[in-house]
Formats: sequence, structure tokens, C-alpha cells
Amino acid sequence: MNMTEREYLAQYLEGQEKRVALMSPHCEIEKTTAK
Amino acid sequence: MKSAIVVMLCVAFMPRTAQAQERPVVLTWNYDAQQKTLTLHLANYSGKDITAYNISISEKYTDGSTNPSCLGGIRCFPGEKMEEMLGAIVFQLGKGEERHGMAGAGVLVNGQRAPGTVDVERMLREYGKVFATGTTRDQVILEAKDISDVDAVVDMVVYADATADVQNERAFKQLMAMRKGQLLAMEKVNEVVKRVLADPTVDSPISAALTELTPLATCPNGRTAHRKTRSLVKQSICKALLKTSRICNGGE
Repeated sequence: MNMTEREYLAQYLEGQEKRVALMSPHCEIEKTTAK
Repeated sequence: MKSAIVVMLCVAFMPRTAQAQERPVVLTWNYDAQQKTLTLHLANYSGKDITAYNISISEKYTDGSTNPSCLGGIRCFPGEKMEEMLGAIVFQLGKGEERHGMAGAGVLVNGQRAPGTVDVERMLREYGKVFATGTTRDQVILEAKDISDVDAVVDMVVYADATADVQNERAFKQLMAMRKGQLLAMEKVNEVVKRVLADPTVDSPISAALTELTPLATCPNGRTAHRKTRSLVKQSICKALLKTSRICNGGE
């Protein structure tokens, strides 16, 4: 399937946004123990 | 004497849940003198899946010397070994997640893509990359000299539910800097790509995005308070640029 450059970049952006959604909650960690 | 025996028996048969309250990850070790390998046995008694942990380790050799040093030839803070599993999982997404039954940030349920929010814990578990609760794992270290004793402890554990047990604040800060650096880089790339795509007058959006992102990846800024974070952002943008370049090649 031939995709235009714009379509490729849009697809890439979609994947990146999913990665950001996955990563974000793991950058704000709640510490439960500090001995 | 009797009471001492009773105490020893109590310790020997102490239930694992009691250990879990002390340490979420229990570490034991053994040394194989023939193979010259030190094996660290880790057991996750925390009740939660783990996405990252840090081991502080000091080795003593039979010749009397000690080695608080880097493991496996990887540069690191002396005497510590950090395992971060989340970054690898995130960057693998989109590179064959369908083969693993996963689709982007969605989850395939009975072959159907489940709509809605990201089920991070399930995704991490099904990807098989996390240190799952109730499981064990071994880390084997090749040694140059014979070991006489090892003092090792897991002093930072970060869970898939975004909580952490932290006894080693420095290691925790390092991990957070790494994760936040990756996230900032991804957000920056997204911001640029969105802007380029929103402009209908741009003939070559990939070239335009690369033109804007490349200086961010190559311009060193080593004298600011956030040097480490900036360095990590730079590395992550470089990775993103490589992926974008592959997209360029695929489109030709």
C-alpha cells in the first residue's frame, strides 16, 4: 500500500501519542516507603 | 538452649509474607567457582508487578580485595545496578505489538481491540517484560576473581501501579530523570510533528519536522541545572529521528 509522506508522519504521530499515554503515569511515582 | 532452638525454627520457617513486609524483593546469591559466575537470585514478594529496581552490591574476593564497581561492563554508579524495564516496552510499541497480541496503547481482547483507556498494568504483564509478582529471576555476573562474600540488597523498587519503595533516593532520582527525559523528548517530537502536519503549505512534512528537530538533538547545552535531563532528551530525540528516517525510507 502506497502512503503519502503526510500519511506516514500522521501514523508515526499516532504511535508516539500512544507511547506518551503509556509513559506519563510512570513519570509521577508515589513513594510508599522511605526507611 | 531450648528457646534458642525455637527462635531458630521460627526464623527458618518464617512465612514469605513476613519477608515481603521487610523487603518487597528478596535477594540471595551463590557463587560458582568453576564457572566464575556470581548469580543473584531475586524473588518478588511485593504483591505487585515491578517495572524498575536497583541493586546496591559490594563483592569481597578471596584475595581480600573488594569490588564496589560496575557490573557486566556497563558504565554505572559504582556498586549499583539498575534495571529499568518500562522504557524498552514503550519504545517497542509499534514495532510488532500485533505479533504479541497488543495494539499500540490499546489491548486486544479475544482478538478484538479493546477501546478506551490504556490498561498499562495488563499491557506490561502481557508483554512479559515486567518482574511479575510472585516470580523469581536470576542475574548472572561473570567474575574475574574468586568471590568470598557478597553484600547486595534491592534498595529501590518501582511498580507498575506507579508507586515505589525507595531506600536509595539517588537511584530513584536517576530513574525519574531518565523517564521524564524520555517523556519530554516524545512530547517535543509530537509537538513539532503536529505543527508540521497542521500546515497544508508544507510540501515535505518529514523534512520539515527533521529540520526543526535536528538542532535539538545535536545542540549540546551542558551548563544548565538540568544537564542530565537535557542530555536524555537529546538522546531520545535522536532515537525518534532515526525512526522518522526509517519512515522516510519506507515511503520512497
